[in-house]
Amino acid sequence: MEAERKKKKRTSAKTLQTAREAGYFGKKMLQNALKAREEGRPTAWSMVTWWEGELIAKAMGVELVFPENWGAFCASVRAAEPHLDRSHGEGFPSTLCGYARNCLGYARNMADNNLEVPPDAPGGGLARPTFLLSSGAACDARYKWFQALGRYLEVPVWTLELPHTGVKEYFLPGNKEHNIRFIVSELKEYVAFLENLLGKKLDWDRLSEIVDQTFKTLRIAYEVDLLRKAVPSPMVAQDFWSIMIPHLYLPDDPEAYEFYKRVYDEVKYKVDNKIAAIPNEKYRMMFSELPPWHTLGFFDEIAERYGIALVIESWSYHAIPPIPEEELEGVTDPLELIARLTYRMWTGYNETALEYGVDPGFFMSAYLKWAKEYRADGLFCHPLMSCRPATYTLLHTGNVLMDKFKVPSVVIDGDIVDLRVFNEEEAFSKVEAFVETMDHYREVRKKEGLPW
Amino acid sequence: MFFAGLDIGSTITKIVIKTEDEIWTSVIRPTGAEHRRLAHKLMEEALQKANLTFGQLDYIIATGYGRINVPFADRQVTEISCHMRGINWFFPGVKTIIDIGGQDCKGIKVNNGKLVNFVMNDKCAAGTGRFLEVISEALGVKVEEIGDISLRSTNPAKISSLCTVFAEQEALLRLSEGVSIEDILAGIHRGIATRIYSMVERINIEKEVALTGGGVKNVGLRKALEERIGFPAVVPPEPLITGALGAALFAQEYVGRIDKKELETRKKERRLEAVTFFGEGPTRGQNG
Repeated sequence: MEAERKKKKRTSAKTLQTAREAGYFGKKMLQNALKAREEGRPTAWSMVTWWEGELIAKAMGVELVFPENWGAFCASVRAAEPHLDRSHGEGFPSTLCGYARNCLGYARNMADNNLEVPPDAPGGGLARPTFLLSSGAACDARYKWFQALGRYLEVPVWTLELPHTGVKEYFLPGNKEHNIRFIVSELKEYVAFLENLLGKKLDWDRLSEIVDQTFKTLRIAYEVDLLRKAVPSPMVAQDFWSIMIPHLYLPDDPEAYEFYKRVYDEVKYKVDNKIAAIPNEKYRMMFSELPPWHTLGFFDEIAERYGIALVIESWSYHAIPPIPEEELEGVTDPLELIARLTYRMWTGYNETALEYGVDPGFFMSAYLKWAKEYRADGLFCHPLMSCRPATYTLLHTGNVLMDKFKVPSVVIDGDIVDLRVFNEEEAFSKVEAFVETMDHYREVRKKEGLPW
Repeated sequence: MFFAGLDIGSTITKIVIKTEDEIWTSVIRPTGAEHRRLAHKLMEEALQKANLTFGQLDYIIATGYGRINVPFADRQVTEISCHMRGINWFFPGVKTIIDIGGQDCKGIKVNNGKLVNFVMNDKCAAGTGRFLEVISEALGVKVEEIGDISLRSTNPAKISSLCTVFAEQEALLRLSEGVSIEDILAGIHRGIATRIYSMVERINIEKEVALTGGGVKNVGLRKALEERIGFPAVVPPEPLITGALGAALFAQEYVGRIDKKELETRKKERRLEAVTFFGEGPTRGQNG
């Protein structure tokens, strides 16, 4: 059965040369952490905290690995099932986050192996951590995941809070600055925790360097996004889901920045020369939100069959539009810069949210802005049985897109890690029928005078 | 000219052969495990019934979940589009279609003959023909009879579970409590109707509504659905063939798009041969 599954899997074909090289960064993270562990240096398992906690840990010399990223990797090489089964055996329900179940199953395997990496761990495995860095951003289930993990791994868990401001509240006088102060105070406590745990002081100059490099990397990643508005699309989601690793997990790494400069050059060249990512681009779709990592080849197939290019996708993985210059004027405290950066991630599309009367601004309003800017014909909604945050806004987003822009959406259920809940044949049927729907709404938009 | 549509569903396989204006013939048979052999056999039967030769068919389209297993089809089209097209042919004014198939259930929105939205339950047996089969088996009643029996109910039982397995248990529990089979079946039909309604309402149910698929042959379910929707729905004369008819209509449309020479070449190259899964080379079971 396993052999058959592997045989059937089609690897995603990236259209950018740089995207084909991006896997290096994932391996680099895993290997650096394993090496650090060997050398007795501190390591941590971190959630994606949208840079709130990672940068400080790195400035303290901690090598980080990300179970969410590793979960995606395990799924993409179809090695997640044994971890899911192990997690199930531990009593964790199948409705729990796929990343969490993959990680908990692996942690159980580690616990059985004297807390060392099991020999057959995919990609070399996650190194034994010194501590766990958890985050309240995006999802309530993430708190509990790392709490449970802490019990297997016998290490401390630090959880960072992040205010999730409502759209109208965001615009109340003083609200934003109040929240920034709150995040800074959280970060101060986090620094104290790390200093206490690691027995050394934070090098503030090093942190400033890391923050500066992060801002530079995120800016160029954002500029790549802007290039993608071109018709035909110079790159597609299959490329993005590879190149996102450096900016999401390693934005402080000068090598990531150099890599992104090459991505920019490659995409710019394709735009200037009107080179399409897929040669027969007929339909431009957006994708929300987290992809089925185990079956990314599906998107190559629909590109070939129907000329569908996924031109923009997965808001939660993207670099945020840069913070306005005036907001950063005179701000030199690296903790405040981090606070502003992470808070921007969760509020950066609030103007759009206010314009269209939607709430929350995150997970939703980016798609409303993108639909126009990227001339989208449709939204591919991928609700996950195991992920509430990436699912509960989907249908509403679809309804608003239809109401405001006559852009239809198609709903195809699945999971980020668990391939057992993704029905590929039915997904093809739905996409094939949806092509007819997109044709129809193209005509409707034309009649209503919409510009695409 | 003659156009053929084959709908290989999970439970039933259907063929429709039509001319430019009318349905010439149709065949309905249970789907087995061997789709390819069945498709060939059924096509031969349909041709015999229609008094036609294979070479007289101008274009063939396959649909349904087994559509890729029709080697002699000129093209495959998704069942969502085919159901829409078939219903639109019968009832051009229909805006919402509810298709209750053997193992899935769909809601389809139509506007001037165009597919504008759809929703589908493809992961759960509740709300499908399979659910009804399980319940009828559990209650010891023939599936063809459960609709009529449920109409005799005076006090439909409350079946709260939407899961096929749990609903089966709940039905048996009600039976042990002395609730009549009529009331249990009426309760089951209400439960399914509620589930289907909730799903299709996501795409906004608008008048006129058409019901299609094998599930609609159950008068009890049909009644419960109409009650839930709040108004009567239209049903095609043979709700099982809507998808196959839609496929035949697509075949007709494609013929209009290709030139005569290409059409003749296609027809000459097409073969109606008995192909099976097992004639294509070694399989694991046969050769270790």
